[in-house]
Amino acid sequence: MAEAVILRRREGVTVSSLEDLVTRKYESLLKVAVLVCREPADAEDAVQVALERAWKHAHELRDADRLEAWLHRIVVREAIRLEQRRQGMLARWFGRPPETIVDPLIPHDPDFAMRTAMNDLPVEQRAAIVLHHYAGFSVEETAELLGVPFETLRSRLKAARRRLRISLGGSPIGS
Amino acid sequence: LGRERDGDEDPLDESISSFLVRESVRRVEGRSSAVDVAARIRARQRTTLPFRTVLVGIAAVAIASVLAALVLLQQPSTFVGSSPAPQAPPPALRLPAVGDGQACPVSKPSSSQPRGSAVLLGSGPVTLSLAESDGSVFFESDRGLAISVLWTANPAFSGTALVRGTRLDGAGQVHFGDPFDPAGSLQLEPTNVIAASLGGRMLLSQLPIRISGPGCYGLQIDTMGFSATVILQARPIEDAFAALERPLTLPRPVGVTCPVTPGNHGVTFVGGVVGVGPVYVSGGGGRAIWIADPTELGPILVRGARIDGAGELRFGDGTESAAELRLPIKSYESTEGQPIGWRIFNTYGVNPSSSGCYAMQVDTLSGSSWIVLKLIRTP
Repeated sequence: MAEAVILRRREGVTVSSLEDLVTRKYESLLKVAVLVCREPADAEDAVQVALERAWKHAHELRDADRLEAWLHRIVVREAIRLEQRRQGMLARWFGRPPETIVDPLIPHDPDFAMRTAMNDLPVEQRAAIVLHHYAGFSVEETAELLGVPFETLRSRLKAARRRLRISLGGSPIGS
Repeated sequence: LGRERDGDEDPLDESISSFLVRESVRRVEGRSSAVDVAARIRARQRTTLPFRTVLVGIAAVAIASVLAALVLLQQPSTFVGSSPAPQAPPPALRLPAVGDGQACPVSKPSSSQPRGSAVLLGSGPVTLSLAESDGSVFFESDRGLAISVLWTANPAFSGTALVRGTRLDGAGQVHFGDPFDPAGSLQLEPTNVIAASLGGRMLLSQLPIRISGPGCYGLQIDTMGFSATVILQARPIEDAFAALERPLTLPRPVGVTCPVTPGNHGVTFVGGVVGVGPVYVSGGGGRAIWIADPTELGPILVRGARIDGAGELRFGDGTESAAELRLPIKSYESTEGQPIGWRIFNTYGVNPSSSGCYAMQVDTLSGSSWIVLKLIRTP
């Protein structure tokens, strides 16, 4: 993989080295990954895999404007895979249903209810919510990134919102 | 960020977005820096390249050894006698070449579903189930030349299966999964079983096979101690739809009574379902949802007409409407609340030219069925 490969993005930004690619993309991708898989170490692994793969195969990317979507696709799928693997391991080790990660209760944490509700979502639903509501991808784009049909993604988003609403119950939302 | 919403504005959305922004900042505090990550990738590149070279060397020696043994033993090529150890190089591909003018030696189904269109291919513990007709399977161009497949295994399967393939009658490759990030091989393990029992088998994966166009393709499924070959003749799904254009033989009204198809109370995950299967319809207000049960994997063609007087039936919306509705094979993926193996197709407009008794003929690779409804034309 030659360092001379230059990825031209829609807004005219060029990425001319691995370090440049990582500097530009690492933090935003890490935030997406950690929201999906919840475990920061796994999120770091997912992003590293994505950036490494992106740099290695950059010359094969026919449409450089698709870099953003390409990176998100790899990151989110890797994050889902790691989360599913971790859940499976926890179930095998402890012989109980997969745990729910809830940080120690911080007094007066206004996000506690929402965090608990988000953690309770199946990882596929959480990934859809993160890509659509956080990363800003449209429903069509999110469906493509996750490799599912449009209607499936719509159903998944609706199901996620329904679960969130039920989990949040009467508690103030994000207050 | 510019955002195209999914059309269902919800006051909850803003709360979700603002929470995710706060949470993302909180969760990445203290993590590795970009500089560290770039350094780690560089280090991996330095160590990975020589390692790969060694692996390629080992693989070449192993392949040469296996080929030499085969020549000596003059064994048939379908099965391998030795077991692939988990970390050993994968067994060599042993797929036949198909020359010009030669017929594609398609695999015979090992068993078939009751209605015949969903066949099970593969002689080992891991098999693939897909829509088939007269020895052909079908790919959809608008889904990246994808053949939809259900990968299943017998309930006792506990190892790892490695699936690889290639085109046999010309240049072309076989890939799996994501069209933008395709994999050259597919590894299947019963650690993430999607359904414990689908027709008595475990459903391991629903990843499609991606091919490079019409032709004869071979797959090799290697499991511990067993290697099976599956050969497919792939054709565009348009060929399947052409085969479904059977003559319309619609039911007739009994006197003045419209022989409305009764509701099906056995299908409970969607309300108001009509039909005896394998294809069902539900809906109202000029729109219909089509549903297929797990026995029906193939494409579906729906046509209809008024049977108690003059009237046409069109499907779709506005200028897009047509006299027939083509439901593709579509992904077999299920959504929450939807039983595994069942498929729900997008809602489609149903537009009668006048109010009356209408019959619809549903043609699939496995046969034809009919649904009769009273339809009211709305302005």
